[in-house]
Amino acid sequence: MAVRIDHGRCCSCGGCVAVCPRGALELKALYVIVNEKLCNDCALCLRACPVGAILPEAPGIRRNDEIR
Amino acid sequence: MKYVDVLVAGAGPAGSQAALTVAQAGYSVALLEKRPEVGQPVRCAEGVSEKWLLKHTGVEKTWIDAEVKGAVLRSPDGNKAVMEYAEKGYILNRARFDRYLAWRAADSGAFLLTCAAVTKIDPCEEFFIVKTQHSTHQEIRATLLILADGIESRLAPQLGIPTVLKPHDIEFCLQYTLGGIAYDEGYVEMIGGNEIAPGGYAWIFPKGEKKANVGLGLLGGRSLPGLNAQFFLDRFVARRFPDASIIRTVAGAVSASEPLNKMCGEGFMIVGDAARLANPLTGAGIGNALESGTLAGQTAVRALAAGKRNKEFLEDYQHDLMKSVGHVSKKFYRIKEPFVKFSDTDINRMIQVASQIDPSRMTVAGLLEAAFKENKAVLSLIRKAFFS
Ligand SMILES: Cc1cc2nc3c(=O)[nH]c(=O)nc-3n(C[C@H](O)[C@H](O)[C@H](O)COP(=O)(O)OP(=O)(O)OC[C@H]3O[C@@H](n4cnc5c(N)ncnc54)[C@H](O)[C@@H]3O)c2cc1C
Ligand code: SF4
Ligand code: SF4
Repeated sequence: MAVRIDHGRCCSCGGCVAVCPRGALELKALYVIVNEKLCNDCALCLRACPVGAILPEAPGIRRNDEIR
Repeated sequence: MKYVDVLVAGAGPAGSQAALTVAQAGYSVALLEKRPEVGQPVRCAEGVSEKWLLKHTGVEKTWIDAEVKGAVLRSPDGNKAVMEYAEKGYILNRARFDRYLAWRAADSGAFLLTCAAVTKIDPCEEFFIVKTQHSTHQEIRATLLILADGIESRLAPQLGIPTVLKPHDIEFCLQYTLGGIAYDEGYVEMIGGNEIAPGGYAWIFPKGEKKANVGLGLLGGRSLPGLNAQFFLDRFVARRFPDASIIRTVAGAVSASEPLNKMCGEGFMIVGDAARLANPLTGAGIGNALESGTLAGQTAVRALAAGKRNKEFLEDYQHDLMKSVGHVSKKFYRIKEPFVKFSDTDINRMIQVASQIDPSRMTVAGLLEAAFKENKAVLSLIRKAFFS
């Protein structure tokens, strides 16, 4: 499992990238992406995000379910 | 494949300044920016002392929103102390400022590319092969590299320099630019208190025309889901400016750490926020970004002239930087530790004592002395840090 970024909320501050101990996050031009293979759910990024844009991946829900 | 003497990754103030310095000396330089528009979205409260502008950029009306002559420091119990700055301060329009700096570098001969994130760096014997996400320039060869990729820096680790920040070494911030509000013209205001901004402070930076940047920062380790910067800022704004329009939202993170131990290596240098150069107590980083960009640019020019790119040669940059601004950040870091542990009673007392000081004589050192009046150990640290 890995954290999930709510791209509607992310304001692309880059702070989460700076604290991720696994190098699992990357700030693209305007939003953050998660490398699921690297994330170990330590939740450091999730606690710190100033706008609550990082969410724990809910078990059993696929990534793009909410887009439908 | 394009070949340049210097490739600069990131067109913030640090990167643009580095590129300008190299271009002005007649060497070829590429300035690569990940975002579609340099400077946007803004991640800053936009305050800067005139001294940095006079030294590096000049002062252009087009990117100045307001002038300030001092700071009002407010405690949780509402008391205030006033500090008159020795030098004038400005509240910038950072979007225009950053764009001005990048375009100025381009006008001086730098090859500026937007939508050009640097993704991978392959070190070779005499140069680097830099991979980018630009549509046409996907690979660029460069003799020297200057990494100016900001707080979200991921490039230095590729060259063996770790940049990950511990949660207690970073402030997570949120800021609203509010419209239609009243405040002290000519003064920035900073408000302390654990109920207001745990491990950080709230600020009001006037932008003119009844607009102001109102924001706060939380120490990373003190932020929690639901009790994050947004929660504290919404509460602060609801109390102080209940009817204001929110005309811009700015999220940002700023390091509250010591500068990187190693800011250079074989063929490369690290500048600005990527080198963790922001002031660990105040979060001010524009001045240090400009200074480090210029110094790295100058070192690059000397290295190219001498045909050198080894680590020992480039260490000049780190040496010059620590001498000019790096040592100040180091000192502030030692004071930050006890400072973030302050209780609201401590802050109330500090402002109470500081409110007795003549505003034109109050300095940061004086304020800190007031803060740690009863803590002999920290007091001697401050005296050592500032007066020796
Ligand atoms: C909320 C907040 C308030 C602040 N307030 C103040 C203040 O009032 N006064 C002050 O002095 N400082 C302030 N700061 C700090 C200041 O904003 C920074 O120190 C300053 O912007 C650092 O400049 P820089 O050039 O190093 O980095 P940035 O300005 O962050 O520029 C880095 C650039 O690199 C680009 N980039 C990143 N990765 C790549 C890549 N892989 N390839 C290509 N490009 C890349 C980014 O898109 C960005 O444009 C504040 C910071 C925050 C977060
Ligand atoms: S900390 Fe939050 S707002 Fe900032 S880049 Fe990460 S997800 Fe986006
Ligand atoms: S949960 Fe931990 S490992 Fe996963 S992205 Fe966030 S900080 Fe990185």
